Amino acid sequence: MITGAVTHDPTTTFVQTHQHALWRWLRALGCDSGGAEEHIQDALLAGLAHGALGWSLADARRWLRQAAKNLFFMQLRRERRRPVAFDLAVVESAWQRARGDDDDLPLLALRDCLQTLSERDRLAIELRYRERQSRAAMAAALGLGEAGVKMALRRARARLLDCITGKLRENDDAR
Amino acid sequence: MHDDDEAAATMVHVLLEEHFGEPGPDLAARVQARLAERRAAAARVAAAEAFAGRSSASRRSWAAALMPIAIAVVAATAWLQRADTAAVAPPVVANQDPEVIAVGSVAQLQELLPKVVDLRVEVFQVRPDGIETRAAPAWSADPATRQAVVAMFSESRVRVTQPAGWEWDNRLSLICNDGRAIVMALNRHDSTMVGMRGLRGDLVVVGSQPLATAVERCEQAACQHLGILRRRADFAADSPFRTLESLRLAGHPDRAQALRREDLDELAEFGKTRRLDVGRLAAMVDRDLLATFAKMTSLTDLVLDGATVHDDDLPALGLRLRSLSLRRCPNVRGNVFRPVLLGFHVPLSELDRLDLSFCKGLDGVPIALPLLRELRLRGAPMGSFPGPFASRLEVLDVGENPLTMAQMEDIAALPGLRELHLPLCDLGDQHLAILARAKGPLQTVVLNGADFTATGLRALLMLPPLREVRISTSARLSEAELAALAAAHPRAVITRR
Repeated sequence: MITGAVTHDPTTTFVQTHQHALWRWLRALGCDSGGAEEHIQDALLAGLAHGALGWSLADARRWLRQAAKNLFFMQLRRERRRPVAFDLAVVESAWQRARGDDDDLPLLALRDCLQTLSERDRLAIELRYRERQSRAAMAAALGLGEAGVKMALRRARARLLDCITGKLRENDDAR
Repeated sequence: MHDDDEAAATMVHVLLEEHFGEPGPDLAARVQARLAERRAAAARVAAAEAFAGRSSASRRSWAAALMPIAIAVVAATAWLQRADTAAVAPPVVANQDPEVIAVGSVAQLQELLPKVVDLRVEVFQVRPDGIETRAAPAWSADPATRQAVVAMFSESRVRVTQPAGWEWDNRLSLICNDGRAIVMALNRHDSTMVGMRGLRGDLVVVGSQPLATAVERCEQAACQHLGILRRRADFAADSPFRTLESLRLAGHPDRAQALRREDLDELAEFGKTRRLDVGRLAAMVDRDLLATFAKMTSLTDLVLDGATVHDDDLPALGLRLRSLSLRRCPNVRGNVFRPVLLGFHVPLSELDRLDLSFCKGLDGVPIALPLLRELRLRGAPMGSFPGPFASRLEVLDVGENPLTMAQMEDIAALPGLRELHLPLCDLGDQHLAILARAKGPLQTVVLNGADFTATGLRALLMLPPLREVRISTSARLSEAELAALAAAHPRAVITRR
């Protein structure tokens, strides 16, 4: 996704600068993709109406993230739904650890970390995310039961998070 | 799982989705459109207020004169509605959602049910493979199905339970005679659970067979619309699938109806199919099936992603194919595409698009297809890069390969190259300096995940045909440098993700 186009239109630049991190943030909160698109547009429009073009990048990020979260929560309240089980403080902490606001660093770390997985774990991740296969198809391809696939994915994601966090820390230390 | 682990796993899940291709939409155009709408509405309000200020007196006299006519129109409309709405659904403009009624209780739902004049189902994914079907139109139920579903929601067949908290898959809309809708979300794996807009909690439906039937029929309609062939019955002699130009084979949740290997031999009779995707049933692909595909008289595009076919099997496909995708095929070594002496039979020699991405087994033999225009080798060994055999190549993707300078020279020498994808290739300024001497009419370059500076990008931007460069934040250049480069080279759009 494009988040920071260099164009001569400040509004387009503003949208492209922030939409990526907002998308990631709402998805991390458990918002579905359709809802995320709506809330991001609404938050960006509200930001523009409040004069966000003149804010610093950090201020705009903080404000938009809060606005998007509020819009998502309002939707949940409107629909009398509770969020998919999470504790907001815990999500915030995971967001900070994985550096969700940084466009590229966590993705670059993830790319390297994928190489550290065992062959089977990497295949499980690729089948799930690249090929979007069903759990039954994955079970057949991996020679596991469906519960085994679930466990393999869980294990792989936990390893990836440890690895990503470590790499980001190394990156910070190197600066 | 502990909450902390779960949140962390969700973060990794989001990053993985992004890494493997769901990075979220580009919303700039939509935000701009909504801004324009708001500005236009504000202008209309301002104009109306100005008009009100100037001629409020004359408007009052017009209003007084028109009042009896308005009353007559309203009365006539009400009478017509009284006569017709019991039987006819109000017109709903395509792609325009009706107003949603927030239904707060089962009693309110049952009060509204007699007003239901239409039932629409939208499936967002079909089972069991989860293929996206949002592009298909909503399915409108016949009166018998509608009545069965409405009856299911009546009386004591529903009760409220704690919300499950899962994401909803499919949507059911009960359209009332006033144009509003009761909207429910359906779990595609469990038709007894329903989430209703406005209700605190979920509905448990006893005897939900009519609902399951409606969803299944909607799924089938969506599949037919999008050419997703997944039942044995779809091979019948009068099947509408036989007339479609693009088909995708997929699994079916009911084993009795699911496709079997022997059913696929029927494909030889599908004379109108131009594009066929067998990736979801890759395990069924064998040499005999490839020979079957060769008998499909119109077939030009074939997707065999994930199949375990070997190079020796591929010539069975014949000579007619124009496009072939073999992504993630573990047994493909690339020998079938090797150079041959003049006069020898060249299998697949008509191909102009080939995708060998993530074929880890490629053994480095250069691909020598004389008509190839588009080649994708993302995440596959670079040794298979065609080099001198690629004089017609226009689109090349060699992402996720660390490129040497010599390989970069080969790429820059391609005489017809228009579009080049080099994401995650560990590129620096020296690579870009070589690319800046590209011989072809290079218009688009994708450089995400590269590590160059303003110097490298400046050199690349000197390339006269260049119109678009996509970079990422990993590039070591500041926003100010980027803005200066963009201003100095207005013909090329630089986008940073």
